[in-house]
Amino acid sequence: MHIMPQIKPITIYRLAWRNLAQKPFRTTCLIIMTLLFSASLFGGSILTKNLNDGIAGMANRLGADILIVPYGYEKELEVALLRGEPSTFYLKADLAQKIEKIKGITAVSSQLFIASLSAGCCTSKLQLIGFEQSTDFVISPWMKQQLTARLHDNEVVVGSKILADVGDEITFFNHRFRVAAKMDSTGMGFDTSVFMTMDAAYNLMKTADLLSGDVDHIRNYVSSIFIRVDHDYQPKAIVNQIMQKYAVEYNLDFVMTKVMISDIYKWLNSFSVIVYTLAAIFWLLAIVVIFIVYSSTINERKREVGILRILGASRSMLVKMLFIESFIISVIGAIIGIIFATIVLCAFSMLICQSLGLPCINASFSSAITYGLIVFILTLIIAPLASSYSVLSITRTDSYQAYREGE
Amino acid sequence: MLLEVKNIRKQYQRQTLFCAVDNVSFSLQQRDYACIMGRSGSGKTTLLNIIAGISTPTQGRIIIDNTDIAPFDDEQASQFRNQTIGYVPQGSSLLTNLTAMENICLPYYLYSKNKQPDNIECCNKRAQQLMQMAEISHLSEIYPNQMSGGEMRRVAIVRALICSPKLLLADEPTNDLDDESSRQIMQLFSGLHSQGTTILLVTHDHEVANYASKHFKMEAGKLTDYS
Ligand SMILES: Nc1ncnc2c1ncn2[C@@H]1O[C@H](COP(=O)(O)OP(=O)(O)O)[C@@H](O)[C@H]1O
Ligand SMILES: [Mg+2]
Repeated sequence: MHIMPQIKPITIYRLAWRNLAQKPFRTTCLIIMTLLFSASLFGGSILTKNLNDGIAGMANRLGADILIVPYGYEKELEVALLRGEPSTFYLKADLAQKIEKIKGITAVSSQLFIASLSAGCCTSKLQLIGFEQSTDFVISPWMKQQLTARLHDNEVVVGSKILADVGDEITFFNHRFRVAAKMDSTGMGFDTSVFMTMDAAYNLMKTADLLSGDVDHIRNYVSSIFIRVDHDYQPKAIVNQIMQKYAVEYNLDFVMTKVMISDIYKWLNSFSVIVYTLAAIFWLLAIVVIFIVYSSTINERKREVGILRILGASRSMLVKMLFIESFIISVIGAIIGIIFATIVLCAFSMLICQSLGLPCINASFSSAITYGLIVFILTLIIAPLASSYSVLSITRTDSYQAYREGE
Repeated sequence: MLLEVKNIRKQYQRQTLFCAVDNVSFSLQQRDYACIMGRSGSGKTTLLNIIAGISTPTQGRIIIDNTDIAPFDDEQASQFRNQTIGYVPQGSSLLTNLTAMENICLPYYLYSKNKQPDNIECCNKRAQQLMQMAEISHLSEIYPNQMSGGEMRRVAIVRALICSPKLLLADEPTNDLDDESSRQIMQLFSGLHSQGTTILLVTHDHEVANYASKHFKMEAGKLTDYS
């Protein structure tokens, strides 16, 4: 006599699973269709949010309204500012004192950029910057804790991505510096910058043979001048004044930070349009493909459903079974897609932002959950919606009335 | 009276209105073993589907075990079919993604009250007994694609019996089977009949018809008494 193994009751749910498992290729393809949507929408919208937050943060804390640079260098400055691409350019330093006197300007601070690809300390590129602590309004908003004392010539403030902490010593061109302060993450070029006093910067340039020719002369130069404008004045009007008076003599160019940021926002807008259009295309594509795949198997499913019908399954049970099946496809597609996008974002989000040359702030856990939920729900709709026509026509009363085979 | 078929008519809309079952009436007593003979296309399957409640007749009434299912909604009719009628459909009717044992127990678990542990035990026992009787115990873990035609048919018969139906319908149960398999199946039916099951089977094979005690003939939708 045979010992019969105890079997688990075959339920509508188990039937749905079995049906999916029986056609692994078809099931995988359908899951991939839904996954394309969930991954692209989740990944794309989180990336857009990261960029948006990064730019908003930058716009908030970038205290300067106008940046003055030598003629032809405004792109270089933007790149240096946003991406931290090391660069060097020079402007006569006495301009700062002249500009200060213009009405409507509340603060002026100069910086000297030293390109130092070859700096001994660090493997990745970094920008050495001399800044005027007494006039500075550019760096201090990002400081983790404000400097209480004056920065000494052998001290530096480092950006958030520089691998050194307060109290550490780092060496550039055989000069040893003590880290006096560290900045918050800015998402900008500042993250890979090292700030020192102007004197220290001049000194470094001189002794490290970074310049040829008239080395002593370097003290008369800076790289860019950061200007803050009174709220009651139009930055545009101030720029016009500066350019009229000094453009020719000093060979000047300028960057208006508002314009720069609104340009970035414009770019971000078209980026998000692309992201959402792509997601919408994937959504429709998934629906169309699943619709076609389901429609093409209607007859084959009618047979199976006809058998279940004969065994006493009601129409609502069969509708439930078929919808559970497509629901499972959507759920798996949504989960895998979101997990996949999360992994890609964790691994590459910063890299993507950097290569876009834009500041980025990682989305908070709660906003990631919110986005995830929305994407999850939109993905959940896909397969049940796409299969609804087939499900209804498979289970329509009398569609299986004649279970007739081989006639 | 276990089964009363009264003036059943089924029309299909083809090029013209076409009558697949034409004013059929007959009745079966408890423990009857009846057989409907007829050529392919004469309306036998259509009639069985109407008796089973899968297809609604254009006209007429079906009364099974003193119950008229016409006023039932789908849910009630399905449950009635599940518990009162065992139907062995034409051709291969096993679900290919389930083993023999799972196929057999499937009808039993369609209604949730049967999923309690005691009932699962009960179903397994009954399946076991029926499989032994049909000599397919060795197939319980086997999937349909590894069975012969005769084995599949016997699994389908056992499946039709799992809920202890009052009426067993079988649509050409020996079609496309070899003589030995046919004999096995007909012996199975005889055994069931002697245990008290009411059987209505459809065939176009005279030898098979000989097992039955009541005979009907179906021709172009019309049923005539034959015995
Ligand atoms: N759903 C349907 N629509 C139209 N005609 C049908 C349908 N089902 C069956 N028929 C026709 O009804 C007739 C009887 O079919 P059926 O009952 O399957 O015959 P049998 O089982 O005796 O071979 C056939 O001519 C068949 O073509
Ligand atoms: Mg038939």
